[in-house]
Amino acid sequence: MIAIQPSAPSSAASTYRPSIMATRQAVVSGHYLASQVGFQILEAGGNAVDAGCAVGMATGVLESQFVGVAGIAPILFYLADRNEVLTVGGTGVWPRKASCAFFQKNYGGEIPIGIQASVVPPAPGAWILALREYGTKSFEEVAAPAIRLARDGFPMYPFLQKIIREQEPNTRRWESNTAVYLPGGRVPEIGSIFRQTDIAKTLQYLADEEKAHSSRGRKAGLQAAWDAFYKGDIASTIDRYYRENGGLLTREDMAAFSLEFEPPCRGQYEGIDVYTSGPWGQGPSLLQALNLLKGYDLKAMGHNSIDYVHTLTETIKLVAADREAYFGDPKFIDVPMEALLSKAYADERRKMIRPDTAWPDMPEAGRVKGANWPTAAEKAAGRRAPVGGVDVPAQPAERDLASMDTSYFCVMDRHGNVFSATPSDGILKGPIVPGTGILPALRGMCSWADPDHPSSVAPGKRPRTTMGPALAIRDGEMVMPFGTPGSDVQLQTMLQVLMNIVHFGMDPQLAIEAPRFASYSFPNSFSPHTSYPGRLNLESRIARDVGDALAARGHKVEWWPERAWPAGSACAILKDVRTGVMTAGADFRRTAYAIGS
Amino acid sequence: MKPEQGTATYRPTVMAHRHLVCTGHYWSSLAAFEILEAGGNAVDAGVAAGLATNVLESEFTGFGGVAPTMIYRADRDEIVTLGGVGVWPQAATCAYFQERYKGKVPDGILRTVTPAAPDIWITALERWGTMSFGDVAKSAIRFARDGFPMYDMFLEVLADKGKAFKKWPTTGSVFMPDGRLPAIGDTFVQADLARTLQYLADEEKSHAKNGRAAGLAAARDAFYKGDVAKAIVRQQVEQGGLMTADDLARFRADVETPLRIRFGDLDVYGCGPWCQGPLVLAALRILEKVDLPAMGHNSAAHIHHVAEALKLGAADREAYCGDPKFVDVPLDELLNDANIAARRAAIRKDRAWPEMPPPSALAGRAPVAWTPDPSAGSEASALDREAIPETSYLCVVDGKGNVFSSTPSDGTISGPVVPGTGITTSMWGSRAYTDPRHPAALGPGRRPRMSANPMIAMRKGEMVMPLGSPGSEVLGQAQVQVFLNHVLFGMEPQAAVEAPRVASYSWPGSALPHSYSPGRLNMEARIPAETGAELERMGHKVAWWPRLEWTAGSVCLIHADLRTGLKRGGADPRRTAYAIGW
Repeated sequence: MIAIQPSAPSSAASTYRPSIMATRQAVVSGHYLASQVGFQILEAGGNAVDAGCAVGMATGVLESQFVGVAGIAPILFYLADRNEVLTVGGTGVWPRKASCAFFQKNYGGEIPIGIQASVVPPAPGAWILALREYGTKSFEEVAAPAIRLARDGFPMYPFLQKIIREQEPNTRRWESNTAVYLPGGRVPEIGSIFRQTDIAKTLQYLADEEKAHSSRGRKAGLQAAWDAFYKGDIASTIDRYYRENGGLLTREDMAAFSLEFEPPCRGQYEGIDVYTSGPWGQGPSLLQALNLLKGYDLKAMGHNSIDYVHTLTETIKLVAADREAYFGDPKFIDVPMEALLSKAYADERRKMIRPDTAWPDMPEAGRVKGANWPTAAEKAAGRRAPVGGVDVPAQPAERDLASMDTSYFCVMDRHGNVFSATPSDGILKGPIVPGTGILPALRGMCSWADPDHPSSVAPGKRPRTTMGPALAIRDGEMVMPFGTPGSDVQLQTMLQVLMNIVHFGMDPQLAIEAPRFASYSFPNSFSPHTSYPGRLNLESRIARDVGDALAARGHKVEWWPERAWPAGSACAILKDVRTGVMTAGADFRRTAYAIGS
Repeated sequence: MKPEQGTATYRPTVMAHRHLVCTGHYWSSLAAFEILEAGGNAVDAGVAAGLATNVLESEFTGFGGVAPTMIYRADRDEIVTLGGVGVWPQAATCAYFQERYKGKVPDGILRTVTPAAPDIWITALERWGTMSFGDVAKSAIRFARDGFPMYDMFLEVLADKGKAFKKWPTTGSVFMPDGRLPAIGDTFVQADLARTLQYLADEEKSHAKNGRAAGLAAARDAFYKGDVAKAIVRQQVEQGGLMTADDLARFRADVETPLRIRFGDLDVYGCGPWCQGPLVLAALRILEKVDLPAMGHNSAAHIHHVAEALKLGAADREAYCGDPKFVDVPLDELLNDANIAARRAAIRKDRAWPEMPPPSALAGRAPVAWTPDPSAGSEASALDREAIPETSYLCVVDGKGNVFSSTPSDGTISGPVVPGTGITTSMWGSRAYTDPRHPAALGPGRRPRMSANPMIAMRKGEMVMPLGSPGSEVLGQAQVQVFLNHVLFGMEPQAAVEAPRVASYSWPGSALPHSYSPGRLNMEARIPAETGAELERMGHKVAWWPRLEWTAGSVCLIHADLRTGLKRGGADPRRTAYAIGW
């Protein structure tokens, strides 16, 4: 078992938040009210799936700057009675009119921030699918808190206000956004009631449709809610707005949308099974990183020591190269996952980690048998080998508006079921479709307008996202959902949190609060896929001389403040299976909050 | 990428429109929240949290201990304090301790005073609540019976106090049932305490047919006259204690009108001279007319003025304050404009009082000069882990603007557990003075003078604000600083709570041995070293705490705007305090 060590006796507070311990149930989410929503559903007898769907929708209201009710919703489930892990790849698919050629012709090969980047919004479908198969409550019951928070409002909080203030000029581009985020033409004051009545109406419409069909049973009701979104008035409204404004998404795309459960990817580390999403997200990169790290005695290196930070950073760069070269929607491309996750491959790749020299940029991807290498003819025609990392701009861009979103939450119920989800796609970055309160996920920005890229644009294809909800299980000992927002930093944050727990005896709260670092030395998942060769950001709680030594090894060290919000906002619930005690941690870098009893 | 700090605070200011709870432990907050959601008012919820605190923080508080509480009932516009500390037994006199123990009050059974918490919780329910004892005790009973996961702060105190268990085997069998320290996450059960609480609930139920009041009275009698009282008396007899069945049966906590001052346009209410209420209110009054914002937050000048104001307040506490039913405390004279102005004038801009300043000179008064006990005053003893602060704090504001503000204390762990009950009879005799001339001298029926001081500030009809902290001598100092941070410096509740704090130790502590460290000023290391150097030059003996020091108090603060309904809560990151609202 992972031994959690008591902190050394000292009069200093050990963490800034208590480790929330629970014996029945626990919820951690990005906002205290969302955690409360999940907790209330659990107290009312709901299971983790019911609570998870409720938290997911409430998050779309409470953190609408980061998460859309019509955003994406990748979910990982653990079903305790079946001892089974499942995922819903809730990341949405490209409309039929989308193509690489379209973006090359109209946008110089970039995927712009705008409705052209919209995919079919998967979140409502993901919640409904989860409820239908593994939940116990109706859509109306789990949507009620989100509806109330949207209709009656909630107190504006500093972090949301800060984002609204930063995005004010962008928001003013669209009347529908201005009406929501700048009521009365001004940035709302902290503590004022912030309402999103159109979101409430949209969710209420789904609930009403469900009710109208509930005489035919729970599943029929849920189907009616699905149809209300994907085939009814909402789809029509979106269709009309997108046609008038040059979007690609149509009501036919919406109507044709379907979602299914998929098996997760699984890796092993120190006797722990780690489960993540498939290669439609960056989950498998975490597993690859763990494979690479098996060759090191990280504990002996010392936490956040020079060698430790260097080794993890180089590991991240190597897995980023493979992500760039191979990851994409597995329904469209052949991702050689088995080979990429094999021990032999990791042993080979590990040789590229040089103990005292940093890769100045992203290393080459590994050569994997079965990978889609170009034929000689294709090569002659200019098709690249899957190496990635070619788009290095001369000028580092400002922080990407598009990549600045996402939330994460996890729920564990009294039966041991787990819901681990990383919803995303806030509605500040594009036009809210008038009358609906929603913005169909702009997730297309995680594609490439390059037919040779594994995450190329293609009708019906899922963009390869950064989402990586995860779950760690050591049989009979521990179950731990964990995750974070943070775009390309997600995987890096999750890796560090996991190492803190596995190797350094930290409990989840301490593991989450520990100083973090992140590499930006690979193409951003979001268009224009900017890369910052060699850049390594360190929170300034990491010792100055560690940073200096890393710079001497070739890392382009940049200092974050002590707590940097781009370093993610991790949440985790670690359950000791033998005692049943759950210990939850919530990141102090943002507004995450844990509740458990 | 622009470097960016995360959120401005380590935790969000929790904001809610319906109701908000902030307590010392997240499960206590949930217990209170559940009661509010079930339709209970702030008092019902506050008592639920208080009882839960007695279980979850039995290292810091006890069901047999003290629980000073302030309640505001909005519909009646009524504000009261429940003078939350028990009284000395009839047989306890200064002479008794002078003759037998050379004026010392030995550790253990002779320090017992009547348990106050049960009467306070029940009286609060009776007069300002709506629910039964059994209903509000449900969570506490479950936490005691089924246990809760052992957590790091509890364990740290347990490791420290465990040394005393040899002399108190009944305490050892509760806290170290297998003779060793539990591990973090181990389920910690207090079965006897669960039975005691359940017994009160059962007695209430069996009398419930005669109405809610009769039920509550039965619960009270179960404790003070029934089986619990019998067990307490048996232990007293066996161990040579002074408390009798009569002492217990006649005890009722004092319900009093709180002290009130004006601060700007706020009414600020503090508890009476049986605690450090007057100290806190005097310091606030002194500081109201000092332009602290102009000095800059936590500048040397700011810290100097705060520390000196607190020292001046402490000098008057030492000279004048005690149980007002027994000593004449000149509160009006101490807190009136003239005296406050004189006290303010006693602050020297560039020089610290090297020790505790002299008390207020009041006409016709000759206060007993305090002379430090040579065995008590050492620097070392003040820092000793023996002086680990006890106490918790909790507050609730409900949808109607009712407020519950309470500072339970008196850890079950700190004395001999009464066999079979899971409680320790209040050890607040540890606040004893055996010099009969001392205003806080012990005596039959007298309340020891304690440090806890739950507060409420308000602008009638517009806002209410409970504010409090544990922390012994630091408690009031933390309150003053957080109050100023929020009210004068305009910080959000969470930021006000988190801002770096200081504490003076330049007066005798309330608890035996009344340790005293002349001139000492502790500061959290987030305050710049230069500020410390400047204060040193003024004569403060600066001692550095870590960046976030858990003995610097654990403040909870709720600011409720009664016009918009918005409630904003801050919970201290220095300990396990947690805010929950909706």
